[in-house]
Amino acid sequence: MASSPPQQQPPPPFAAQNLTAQGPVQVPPGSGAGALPGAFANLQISRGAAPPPGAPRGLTPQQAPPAFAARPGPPPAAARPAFPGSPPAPPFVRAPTAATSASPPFGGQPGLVSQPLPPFGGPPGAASQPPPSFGVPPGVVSQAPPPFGGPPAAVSQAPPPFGGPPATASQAPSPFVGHTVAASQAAPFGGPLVAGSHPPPFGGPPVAGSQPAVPPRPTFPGHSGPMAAAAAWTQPTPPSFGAPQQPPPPFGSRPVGQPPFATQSAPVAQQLPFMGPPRANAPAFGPPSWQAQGAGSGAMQPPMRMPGIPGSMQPNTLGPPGTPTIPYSPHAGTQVSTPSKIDPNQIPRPMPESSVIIYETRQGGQATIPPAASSEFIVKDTGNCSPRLMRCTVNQIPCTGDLLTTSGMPLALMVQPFSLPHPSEEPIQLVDFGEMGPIRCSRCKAYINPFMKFVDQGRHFICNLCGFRNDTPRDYMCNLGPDGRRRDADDRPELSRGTVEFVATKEFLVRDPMPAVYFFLIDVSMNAIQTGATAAACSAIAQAISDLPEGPRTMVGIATFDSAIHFYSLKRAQQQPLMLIVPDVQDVYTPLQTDLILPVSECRENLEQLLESIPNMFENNRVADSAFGAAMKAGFLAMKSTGGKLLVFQSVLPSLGVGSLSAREAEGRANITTGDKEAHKLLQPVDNTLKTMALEFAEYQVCVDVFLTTQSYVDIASISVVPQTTGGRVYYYYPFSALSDPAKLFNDLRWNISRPQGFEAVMRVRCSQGLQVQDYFGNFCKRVPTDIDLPAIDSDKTVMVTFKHDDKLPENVECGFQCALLYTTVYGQRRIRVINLSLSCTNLLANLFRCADLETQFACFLKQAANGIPTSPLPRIRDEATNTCINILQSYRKHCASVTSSGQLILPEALKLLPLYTLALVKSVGLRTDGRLDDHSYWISLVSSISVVLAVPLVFPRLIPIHDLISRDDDDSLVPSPLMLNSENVQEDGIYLLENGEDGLIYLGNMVNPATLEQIFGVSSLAALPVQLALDQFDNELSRKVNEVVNEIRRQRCSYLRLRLCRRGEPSGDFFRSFLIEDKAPGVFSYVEFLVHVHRQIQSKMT
Amino acid sequence: MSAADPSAAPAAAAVADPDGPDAVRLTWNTWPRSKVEASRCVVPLAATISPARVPDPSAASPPPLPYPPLRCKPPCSALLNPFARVDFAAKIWICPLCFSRNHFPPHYAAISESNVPAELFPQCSTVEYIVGGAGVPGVGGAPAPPPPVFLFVIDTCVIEEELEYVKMAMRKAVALLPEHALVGLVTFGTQVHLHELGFSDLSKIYVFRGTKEISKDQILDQLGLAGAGRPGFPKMPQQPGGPQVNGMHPPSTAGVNRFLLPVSECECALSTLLDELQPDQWPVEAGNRAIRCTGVALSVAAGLLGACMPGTGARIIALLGGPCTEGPGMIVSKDLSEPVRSHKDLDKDAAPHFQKAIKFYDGLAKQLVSQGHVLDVFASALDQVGLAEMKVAIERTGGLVVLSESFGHSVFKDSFKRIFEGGEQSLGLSFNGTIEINCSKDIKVQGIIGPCTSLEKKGAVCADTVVGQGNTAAWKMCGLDRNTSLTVFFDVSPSERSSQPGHQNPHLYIQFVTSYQHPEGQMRIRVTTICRKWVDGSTNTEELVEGFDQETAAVVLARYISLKMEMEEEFDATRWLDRSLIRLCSRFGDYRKDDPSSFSLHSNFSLFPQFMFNLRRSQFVQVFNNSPDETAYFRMLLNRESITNSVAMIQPSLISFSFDSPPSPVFLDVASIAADRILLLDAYFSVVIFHGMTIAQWRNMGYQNQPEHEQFAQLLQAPHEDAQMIIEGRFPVPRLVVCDQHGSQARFLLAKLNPSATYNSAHDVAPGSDIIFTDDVSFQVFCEHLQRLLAVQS
Repeated sequence: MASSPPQQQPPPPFAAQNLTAQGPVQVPPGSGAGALPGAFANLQISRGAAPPPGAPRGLTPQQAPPAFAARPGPPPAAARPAFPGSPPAPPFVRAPTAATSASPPFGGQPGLVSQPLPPFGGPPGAASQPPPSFGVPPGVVSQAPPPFGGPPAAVSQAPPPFGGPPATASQAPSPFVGHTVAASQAAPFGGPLVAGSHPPPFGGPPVAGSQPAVPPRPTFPGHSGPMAAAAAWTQPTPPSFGAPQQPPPPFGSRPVGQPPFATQSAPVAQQLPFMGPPRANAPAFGPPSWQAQGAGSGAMQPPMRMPGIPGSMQPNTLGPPGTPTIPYSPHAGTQVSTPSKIDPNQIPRPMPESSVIIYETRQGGQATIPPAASSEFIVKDTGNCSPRLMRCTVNQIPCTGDLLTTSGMPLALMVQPFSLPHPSEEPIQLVDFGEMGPIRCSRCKAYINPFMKFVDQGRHFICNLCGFRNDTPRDYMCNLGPDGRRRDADDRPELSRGTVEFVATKEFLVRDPMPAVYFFLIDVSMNAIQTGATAAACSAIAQAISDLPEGPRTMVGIATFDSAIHFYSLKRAQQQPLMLIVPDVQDVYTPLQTDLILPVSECRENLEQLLESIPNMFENNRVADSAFGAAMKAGFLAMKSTGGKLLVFQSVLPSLGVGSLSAREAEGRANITTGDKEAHKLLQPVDNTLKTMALEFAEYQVCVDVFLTTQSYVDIASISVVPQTTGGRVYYYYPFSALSDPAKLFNDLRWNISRPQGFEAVMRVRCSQGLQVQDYFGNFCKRVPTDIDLPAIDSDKTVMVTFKHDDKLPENVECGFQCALLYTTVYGQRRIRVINLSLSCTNLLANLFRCADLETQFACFLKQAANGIPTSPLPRIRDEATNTCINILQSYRKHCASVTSSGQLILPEALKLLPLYTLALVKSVGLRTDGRLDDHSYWISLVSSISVVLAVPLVFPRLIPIHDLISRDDDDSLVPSPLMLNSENVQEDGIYLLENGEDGLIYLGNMVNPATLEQIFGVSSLAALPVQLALDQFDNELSRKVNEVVNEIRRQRCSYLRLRLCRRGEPSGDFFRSFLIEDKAPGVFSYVEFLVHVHRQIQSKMT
Repeated sequence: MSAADPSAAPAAAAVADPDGPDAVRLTWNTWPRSKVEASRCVVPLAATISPARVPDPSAASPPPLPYPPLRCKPPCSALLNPFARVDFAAKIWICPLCFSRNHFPPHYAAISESNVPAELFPQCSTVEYIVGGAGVPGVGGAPAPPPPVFLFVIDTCVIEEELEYVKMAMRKAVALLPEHALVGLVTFGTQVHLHELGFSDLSKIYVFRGTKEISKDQILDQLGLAGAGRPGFPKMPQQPGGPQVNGMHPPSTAGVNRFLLPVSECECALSTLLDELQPDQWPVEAGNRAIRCTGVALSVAAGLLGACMPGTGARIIALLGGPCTEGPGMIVSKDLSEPVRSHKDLDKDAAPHFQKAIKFYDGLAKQLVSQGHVLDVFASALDQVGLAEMKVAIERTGGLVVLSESFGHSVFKDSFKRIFEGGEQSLGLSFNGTIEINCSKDIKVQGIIGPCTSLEKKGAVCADTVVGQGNTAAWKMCGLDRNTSLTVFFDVSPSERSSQPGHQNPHLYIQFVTSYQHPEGQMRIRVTTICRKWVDGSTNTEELVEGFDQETAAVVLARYISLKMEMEEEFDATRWLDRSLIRLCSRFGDYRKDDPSSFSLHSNFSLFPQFMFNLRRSQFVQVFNNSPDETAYFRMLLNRESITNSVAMIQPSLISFSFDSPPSPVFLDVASIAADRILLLDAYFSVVIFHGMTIAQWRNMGYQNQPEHEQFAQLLQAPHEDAQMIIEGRFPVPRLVVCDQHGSQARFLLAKLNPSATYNSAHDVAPGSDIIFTDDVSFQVFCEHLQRLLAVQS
């Protein structure tokens, strides 16, 4: 199996063009893209838009509009506005895109390469071309078939499998057509904007890594003609982020797709070999003023120093490199003597990164420090993996455990094996070793990687993890070059790339790769019916079916349940569907061995018909009980032979059958009022029943996702065990609204099934001797200490791996990490994705602090805190979080900045935002004492698999004014710069959107201009606002903008956001204000106070 | 004054109808007075009664009486009958059983010698009363009787072809059902499917697993019928024009009538269901039997009916195509290498599932009896299906049973149709019968063999010895029909007072009181009072002999030993029969000592040795020639059929058709075979038309088609017509075998014939006659032995 020739691999439709170039598939900036799109789309696990970059670009702004109008059913890619560097395509936009019809993409546009082929349009002949080999040794296949890319069909398929977040865009009947912005907005957003603004992303980094800096060039380099494409990649091309220079899109809308901070794109290009430009490397925040100091220091990080309370104001020039100081306030020198004098405007706050960074993972034989996770960057894999796939809390590994302990920092990896790449990134390459299988170290079984050292004329190689000297298999021999590397190293992805995929051989198969099985379970108990949850679920499923992977191996099944479980046999032969009821919910079974799960192609119509009739069929259902556990078990039994995804739509507390739960919340309330110390117990699963069940599910490769469309307590603490153990997640719609939630439900479901993912996966992380894996955190099932089993793994899931020292690491040798993920693609190929990271080791604490990765560390703290909530009282968790922060800063203060006066609070540059984030964490939903149990539990379940990129926003949301979107003149980014999270920024005449990746709170002041209200919400007064919000798009500029912004955020977060209206003086307003982290709240510090608190604590520890 | 002449009635009626207007036959019509004498009679004192028998229409019987009967004061509680002495002046009647004096109630005030109520008419020893409009005690006043319920349980673990036959039969059945009858459907294979007929959107099925025993409460709970069922069961199909609209459990369909619907409402759904019914979808592994969970299916059916009101007449009609291989009631494992148990296995206790299955069906029987519902089984398979285990449930509930080889066979097809037919052809299926027996003081009841269950109502009539369902004075018959017949065993235990001469009443009285739900729906009480004479046996053998009914005696003995064979281990039936016959003959025969040839028997006994000879050779005693299922089947029918039919099972009748003589009975002997004869054998379970060699040749040459040989055509036709008559009057429909001499099917005849000519005795075989290849003794040899033994013994 494993040896199937590359050519047969599914798809890369357009691969042909790519292959001519050796090495990475680069898309020439703004040029040949058109020719490559297919390949790109396919190859790329594109983080935004699967759509070939070309697609959007294919549309000249001018042409665009008609194109869209003409074509509702879009070629997939096009549908998804692929913005450069934008995260997944705007999932929720329903944009008819017609890349196809937009023919000469850049016709008249200066700078645009005339594009031979419409990206997606009728696939050019190339589509059918097998991917010619790359010019590399046979066996190495350019990863034509992106794991998820799937069959060529994918290209023409609406949402390219990969394509990022659920984009309703391409779907003609979009779920929220009626009520959502997206729907009505089709053309404006999805279409032209995208296209017009889009150039750069594909501009791709210069191929030749050695070229340091390329001056910014006009957006579209003048390549023209067909040859442009070829030329493009042989020749260093300037990354063309020059959107600004581009003629403004004709329709006057701001270029949506533009990199948010495109104006500053120039600097991006400068590549300083060993340290990224300050912006790139350093956390992308911080007011420029602080950076001023650091900037000059070249290799040094900009230091920052905060004068202590009484302290001197002098920036400490004596401080060790990397510890510049920054005053609390500009006037600090003179008069800061009390905390109250701290100027709130000068304290560390995140600064949005303004430009796209080109990031090479290794330079000059060393790992480079990755850009901030939240910034926009394009990765060039030069040996280490992309930081999106795996990043470490520190970018240099402490040689000893003591050093690590002293620093107070964690040592952990965040692994997100299917993270969405930037559209401009080179795809992960697929390597087929034929029957031989991937080369592995014969002792530790590590996979071949760029850090394995070939010696003895290539006859042996030394494992970088365990140091064992292996014989090179004869077929794999190659001489070494003068530099000691194998001569073929650059041609072999496994020797030159940090991340590759291997075709799995028989030994990795215990059975044939499983088909893609989707089983839907819908609650039809009285409550679910009456709240409209059942109807919403049915409609979401009906629409999402078309997003299932194509092909005969995609199977579906469906069941509903109340106090019994109703299966449906959808065999085509039957005139009407057959409902099979399993009434025994204590001890369930499957009512048929076959026919419950059928290939989607055989039962689509029957299924759609059934979904349509289910809400009616149960219209008068008076059964209030819901046998959730039993239903899952029954669904599981039906799919036991294959495994697959079990998608459960549940609306009430499971009250019946195996795994039934009780309303513990009520008893919990009583306990809380009596000051029960055991209150946190209610955040633990009530018993082991569901856990046991989940372990069995996992064993048979069944992944459970639970959609909770509820209006009451459902005991998420207990329920979430199942998805967490099986690699799924909980979706929570509380209180469920039949008006505003169906759209989100659909988009969540759609993204759930269309995002990049794999099945029946096993993952193991190996590391160099001296370290050992301590533990794994995330949504998986662990049966043996070394491996974790993931019935399903997708682009949103992150696994945290912690390490501990069991020996000293030599300073001169790099420490290697290798994550190997064996999985099955949705199209049934068995693959091993191997992700390598090799970091240098250090004995210097200062290096640790310099190379600390704040966001990764914070994600780690967040997960650890969430992990502790069910077992410890909340106050203790909050203290622990604060102490962690204090300890790290104190360690830095003590060991790296000891010379400075104790009166100063000195923060390491890399971690300068740690106090702010810690404060946000302490104030987060999960750690607040008030709040509903389910909210806490949901938050905990969310955090367990959250990625680094989304970790910070979850507790530290973005606050954006939306009432003045039109008047804004910084026209360069779609989403306005966020405001600081304090109430001073919230004006009573404004409307604000506060989003954390999950919820979107729209705050309306009491004095909002009625005209603005009318424009955005279509009502003329506050009183007329509906309680439940469906953000429609109206025919005016502001409304369009608002929707654009919301859609952009949705795309960035891969989440549809639950929009809620918040008004001053109502509970919703208080809820909104509780997210204003910097404010003082009852019993909790304001930001300034917190800094003072931290400082005091450090001081007291120092003395 | 009683107007009845006790001895005249039976004798006179016997001419027209062997069972008489009372449908009661006794082994002895004159009873010895003492226990010792009774035991010297050898053949037990027993009566057979067909409680729902429809009297010969020609006999003038009064229509049912539209008022409730009068009862004697407790504890007797006997009903007023023609044998009561009535004092018209005092308006008093004296119970013939207990001699209590009872006043007539006020509404009998008009009674006088010239104005006698029907129940006192001398010829009305059997009368029926109609009680209660709806007939369901406890539910007062509802005008309409509850509709009958038919719950079909269909085995789908059969090949497509068989299933098609089933569907065909079902379609016919549904068409024949009365409009208001409620119908339900359960199909089963590896799992049990209960079809919700009242759901129109799609085919809705409740699925139960086959492996797990499930209690009635669980079933009701899981079907959402718990609590709702009993009180909610509607007397009538719910309000007209209220079809089940959408919705799973709308209030209107919350009850059991989601599953049981009037035929008129669900005919369409039912026919769609039947159309789409497929053989069980679960795979059958190679080398295995299909997984079939008959036990759970029957549990589910019984449980569902449990939601009906007790007292509602309901039948579970099970169509089985093979053995239960899983779950409760399993009789054999699914592994084909394990054969289904045989008599040998049962004998050696080598049937691992047998006792467990019996226990399960015993429980099911109890449940059904308590609900008053019937289990009918139609087993159509080449192999056994487990009737032996199910026997208890079928028999206790008074269910029907038919065993055939295939659903396509006429035995199944025609029998199945019969149960739904009305009018003359109707089986007269009745429900919810109870029978009570009242007798004269010195008579006790040992028990009943037949399709009934003890109600465990102790009474003065209970004897110490128990035969069959005993130790009670009342029995339940969930289902009964015109043919249902019970055998009641009596004991004579004279009390001291009554044994004193002078006090003796020359007559004994036995009263059978049956209440049941008539096919037309009303509740009826049927009273049969019989009167017989006591004799002092020790002195008066003559009178005893006069009162002997040899047919009844043979049948009762057959039933009795069948029971003993089932109940007693190591019971040697042949030996027991031989000894009984010897004892009987020595008691009642005439012979001179040491002179076997002097032996003779009274005409009332003349056929008895032959009955015994044939009984010894019959399927009831020689069980090893049959499977346990067949044996169970034969015995169930033996126990429930009338005397006439039962005699045919023991000793088939043989009629000869030839040119020489009109159709006439001939000896059941191989010697009756002749080349130019057609023989018609009625062995109850099969009817054989046997053409002699010459007849067969003529027929093969087509003479019957030639006008000049019309007579031959008539001769050929005659036995067929007779056979048809037999078949029409019988349930289950017998198997018709048409065969020729020396043909392979001829074995059906030969097996029943007395082997007077065997290959051993081939000395003078007449041309055209036949011999039987057997080592069995012939009747002649048997009789010789008997005579010799008697003569020598005494």
